[in-house]
Amino acid sequence: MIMRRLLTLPGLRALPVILGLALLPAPARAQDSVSAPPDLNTFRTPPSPAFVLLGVEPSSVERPSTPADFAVTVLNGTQNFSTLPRDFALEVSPYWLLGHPKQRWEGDVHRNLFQSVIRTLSIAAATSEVGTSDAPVTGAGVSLRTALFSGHIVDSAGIAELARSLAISSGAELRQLQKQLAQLQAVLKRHLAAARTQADSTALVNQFTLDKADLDDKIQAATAAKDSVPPELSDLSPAVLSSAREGFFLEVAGGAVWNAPSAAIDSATLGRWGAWVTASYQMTNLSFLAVVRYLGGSGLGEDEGIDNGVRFMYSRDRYGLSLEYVDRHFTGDQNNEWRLAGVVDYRLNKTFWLVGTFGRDYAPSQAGSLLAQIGVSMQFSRNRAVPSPE
Amino acid sequence: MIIDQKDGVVRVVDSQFYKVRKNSKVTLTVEVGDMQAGGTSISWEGEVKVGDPNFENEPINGNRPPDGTILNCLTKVVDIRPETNHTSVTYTLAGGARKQEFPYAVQVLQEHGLARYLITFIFTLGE
Repeated sequence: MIMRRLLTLPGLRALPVILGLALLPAPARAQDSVSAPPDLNTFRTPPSPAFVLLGVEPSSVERPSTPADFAVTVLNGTQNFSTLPRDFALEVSPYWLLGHPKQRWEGDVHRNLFQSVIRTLSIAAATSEVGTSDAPVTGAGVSLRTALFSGHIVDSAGIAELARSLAISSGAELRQLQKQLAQLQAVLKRHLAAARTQADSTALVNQFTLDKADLDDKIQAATAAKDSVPPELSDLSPAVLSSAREGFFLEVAGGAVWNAPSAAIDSATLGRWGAWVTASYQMTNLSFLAVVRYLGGSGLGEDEGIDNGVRFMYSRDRYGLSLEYVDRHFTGDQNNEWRLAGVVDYRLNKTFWLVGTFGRDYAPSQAGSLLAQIGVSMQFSRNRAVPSPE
Repeated sequence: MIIDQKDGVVRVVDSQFYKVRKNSKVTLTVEVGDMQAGGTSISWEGEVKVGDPNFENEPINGNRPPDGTILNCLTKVVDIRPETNHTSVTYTLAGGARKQEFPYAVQVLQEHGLARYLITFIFTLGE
């Protein structure tokens, strides 16, 4: 039915129909162009804006998980604060560096503004050599990223059920342990009653701890399942295991890059900078996304300006629909551009999907600006052309 | 305190004294922190109770004298946070000589890792 409607639209009677095997496509052009203008995904708030501004994709990123790790990482990277780190990438979430023993998972189902900002705040920093061997220049980028609103936990009931399963299984283990622990406890009570000093009592308790650990080892070894996955974790949904969230999200980020010739801090000048705002509403089958990005500074050329776009996605098990509009306003002489693309996918069977992409790319007068493709894709991964809302 | 790991499961084993009086009515609260999922069971004088999934001001000894008795706690915690591998459990005993918190924390080894806390409290007479 989609095909019949398209063939009646003016200008599309020569619509090429491609049947065959193809990899899962993103909204694609009828012909690929050499320098592909970005689609909406590239405008979204990146996980590490500093890396994007610097133009690097670090193969190794330091992600310290404790204050001590963070201190060691910085000291090693800067050689005890004696030099600018080279080819260095660091990402840290300050809130998660510290433990939060009084924070229960129930308190994170909904977040207020303050909670959302501090729990999602991440800071990234990176350095890279951006010059040449004759004129070396060290680029250093820093960025901040956080979410003013971060939805709510998707499956609270699932997490509560997991906690109950853990309690039940701990009860079964404790019953196993208790039968033999009773003997150890009886010996401990007798010896404690006869102990004369606090030091003697402490030594008795320390020995009891060691004996208890050995007993627990033996019981665990005797009852260990062949499968290494604990029974409480089997058949758990990914949403439970990752505390997945849905609802309204508002992410903001900003970053800047400084260029230092010959790594001299005194000569460092501001290079690129950028700001991102991404608003989204995610539900089980439906999502809406709006993005605004500003890039400025030297070296961007035609890319300096404001990009904004919106996307709607609706997906079910057998089909998905996506509509995306992107608008680009350049600060230079380049003409402003816009792009409109729709993707439809339909599951033919477990392996094959019918995928159609239709729309208009940025430069309507250029070859390949008509987006028109229908194909059959074989699914090797979980990624669909129209993904389920994240 | 012993902290070790076996087959990817991190374990904390410890024993602590808690001072009580002859007529103390001891209660236990167990909090699983770091926004992780966890459940607890306890045993006192051979009687095992399963938490729902943990305990809040749970009476331990009722009308029976607590002095010289032993409370065992087993808490299992699963890492459900992509942001961190920290886990923590705080046991709070009240009703004795004074209210006392016993905090424990350990990092699991991988995403969705499991931590077991096997903690024993020995009730002794004191102030």
